[in-house]
Amino acid sequence: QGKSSPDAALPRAELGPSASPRPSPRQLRRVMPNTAMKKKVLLMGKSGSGKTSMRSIIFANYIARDTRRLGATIDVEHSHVRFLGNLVLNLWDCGGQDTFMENYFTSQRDNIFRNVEVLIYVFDVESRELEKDMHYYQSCLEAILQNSPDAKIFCLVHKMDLVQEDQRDLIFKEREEDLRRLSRPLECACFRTSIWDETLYKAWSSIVYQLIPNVQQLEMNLRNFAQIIEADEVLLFERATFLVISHYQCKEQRDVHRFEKISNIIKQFKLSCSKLATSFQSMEVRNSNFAAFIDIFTSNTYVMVVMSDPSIPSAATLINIRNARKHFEKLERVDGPKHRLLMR
Amino acid sequence: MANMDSDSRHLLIPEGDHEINPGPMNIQFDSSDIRSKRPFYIEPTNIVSVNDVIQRVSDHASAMNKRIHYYSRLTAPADRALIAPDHVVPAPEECYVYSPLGSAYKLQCYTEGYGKNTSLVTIFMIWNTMLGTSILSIPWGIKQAGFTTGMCVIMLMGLLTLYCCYRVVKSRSMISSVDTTTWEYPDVCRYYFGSFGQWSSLLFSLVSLIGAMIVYWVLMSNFLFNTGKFIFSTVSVLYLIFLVTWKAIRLGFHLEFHWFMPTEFFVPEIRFQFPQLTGVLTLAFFIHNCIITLLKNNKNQENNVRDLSIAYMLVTLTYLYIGVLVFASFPSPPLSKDCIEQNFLDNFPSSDILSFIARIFLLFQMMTVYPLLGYLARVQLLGHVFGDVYPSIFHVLIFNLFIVGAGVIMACFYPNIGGIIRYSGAACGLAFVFIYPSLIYIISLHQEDRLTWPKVIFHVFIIILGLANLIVQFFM
Repeated sequence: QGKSSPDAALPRAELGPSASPRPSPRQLRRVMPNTAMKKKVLLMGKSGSGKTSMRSIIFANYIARDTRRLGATIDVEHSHVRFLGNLVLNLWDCGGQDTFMENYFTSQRDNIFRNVEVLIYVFDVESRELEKDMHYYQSCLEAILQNSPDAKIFCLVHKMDLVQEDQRDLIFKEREEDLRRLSRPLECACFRTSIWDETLYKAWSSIVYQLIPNVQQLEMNLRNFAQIIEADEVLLFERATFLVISHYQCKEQRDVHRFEKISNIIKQFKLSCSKLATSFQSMEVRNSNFAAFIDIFTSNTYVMVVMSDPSIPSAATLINIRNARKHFEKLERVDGPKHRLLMR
Repeated sequence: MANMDSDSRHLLIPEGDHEINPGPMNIQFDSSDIRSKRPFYIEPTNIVSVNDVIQRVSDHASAMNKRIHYYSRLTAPADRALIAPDHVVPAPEECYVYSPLGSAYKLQCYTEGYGKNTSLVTIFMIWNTMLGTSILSIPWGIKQAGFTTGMCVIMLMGLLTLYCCYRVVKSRSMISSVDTTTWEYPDVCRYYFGSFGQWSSLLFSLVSLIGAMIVYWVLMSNFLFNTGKFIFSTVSVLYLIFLVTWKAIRLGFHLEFHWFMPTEFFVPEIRFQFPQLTGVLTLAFFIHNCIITLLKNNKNQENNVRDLSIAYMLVTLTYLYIGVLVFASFPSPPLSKDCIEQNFLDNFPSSDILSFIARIFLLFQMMTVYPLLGYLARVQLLGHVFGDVYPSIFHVLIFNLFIVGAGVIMACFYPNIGGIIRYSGAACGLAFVFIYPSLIYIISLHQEDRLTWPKVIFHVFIIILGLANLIVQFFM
């Protein structure tokens, strides 16, 4: 068969709830002249830095057991979550004690780092081995520079809740400077995160925001939409993770934590729905002061519309949302043949 | 939501099959009521208006609540990865039980006396605990050190011991890996120094307790010359202040400043025996073994350092006031300042009414505190040595005989409370005031890689001061 495709060389993964069967890369190549591999989001960091918890929280998965086994096949955290349409999340431990793991990492380096759209590297702020951490980070960057030089790099300084509050800014600034310096010539964006406050959600929202190709246009259209239907606030969520991509509000809202709260509530609801073998599609919450509608919008997004005028009937808003849907889907497809084909 | 009704009815109540769990129902209504099949619906009267100025639940807490609910759905119960650690969960007094029907009430504080004291009460408690029998020896100490030196030494020692006390208070917060909420300072010592730390802190704590008990016995046998009535204990300090003020008004000031040479009636301003004063002051400013417990009950924990500093300032002022007034008003033309006794009340004749009353107050205070000190000493020593605070009546009897015997012997042969105070003060102060706080701070900084040379030099200097303080007592 000649040179086997990169995906076949990767070990079969321990799968989460839904595994979509992918067409073999050779078939795809026959259909499309351009290589249309699924792009990867690499989530990397030292073992114990919090990647698995982070992934579970953002993607609303149950935490997978540590399925690493010594031997010919090594199972890797590899989830087929459809994330922003065409991205697949790969989770890797860097620099574990396992020398076999290290060797594997070195020999399969090119496969791992090819077709990477995003590298998210997680640093544990409490780590006592700063030198080692930076060393592994740099070797990942080298591999990225060789195999996917256009990839976007994000560094998360995690577990910040374990640092005293008055020292957090200082420590984060120090780390950020070091990381920026080490990452040259590549650019990296740094965030400080903790799963116990809103920083994790905000960091991932920023990451998602930067991955959307025409996000400014999306925002402008969202604003027009909101003004036309006289909504108080309109939010656009990414479909798999409920991270806020963009929002428009026409007046000051009191609760700054509302985005993360809504995301957590809906993800919890989605978990309940999956227990009944149903899937969440839409929701309406209404009282005498407001009405809120959460509905599927485009293939990658959910929308939430908040109306404070109770005299507008639900049906009217729902029709408006349905009509806007077509318009926004067209926006997403504007990026040409490659993008459109991947939308299926 | 257009198809909601038919879909939901199918999900919630499968037709004709009542054995299957019908799923979540609206609990506000009876199951026979058709409204129980509705999605959860809150009666309008129960909804809190969004324009309510009084916010019952903070946005931050509400977000944390949702976060914890969501995370708990992500893990198996045995998996501790996503269980909220203590430092992110609000303190018990900040927790409300919030009903979705719109009302919220606060949880009762389940730990008695937890964080209920206002700053004023905390400051007063620290002041009261610190002011002890050393107050009687302060004028003598000033005399030993010289007037100017004495005043400077009092203020400097106050600042130094305040800093070390601050280190003690902050020591628990530098330990992030273990839950330290119930720890007192000996526990911190044990964490850093192992069993050596535990035993040595026990030993020094006993030195201070037994030293205090000996001093008490000596003073009580002294005051028992003058029997009298009973009154409450803090009043004795206030009464001393009044007594001293009154006497100073009556006697007037007798001060002359000779810097280095003693004269017939006066002592030089600067004397080489000033370490005797520092020894006394080490015990006078000693509260390090129980400051953590005292500050735990402060309502606003963020004011701890401020309240501690205020308390130290008040104690310093009290000592300065009494010491300076007694020293200054001591009638020097007929008498020499050198005559100031180690217990300044001894300078008054037994027949003097005002000092008689002071002795009564102090006598009663000591008679009530002496058994408490004995109890503390017994609990600490017997508890650690025998594992049981009351091994048998013989153990306790021998222990009490030892303590009281020591007091009696001292009262007979060496009733100089100034001496006893300065030796025991310098000894136990060495551990709790000077060495342990500084050493522990250096070690915890080193563990966090935050150690800098100025800090090392400064804290080693403090340790050297403590050692010098003890050694020099034996040469004076």
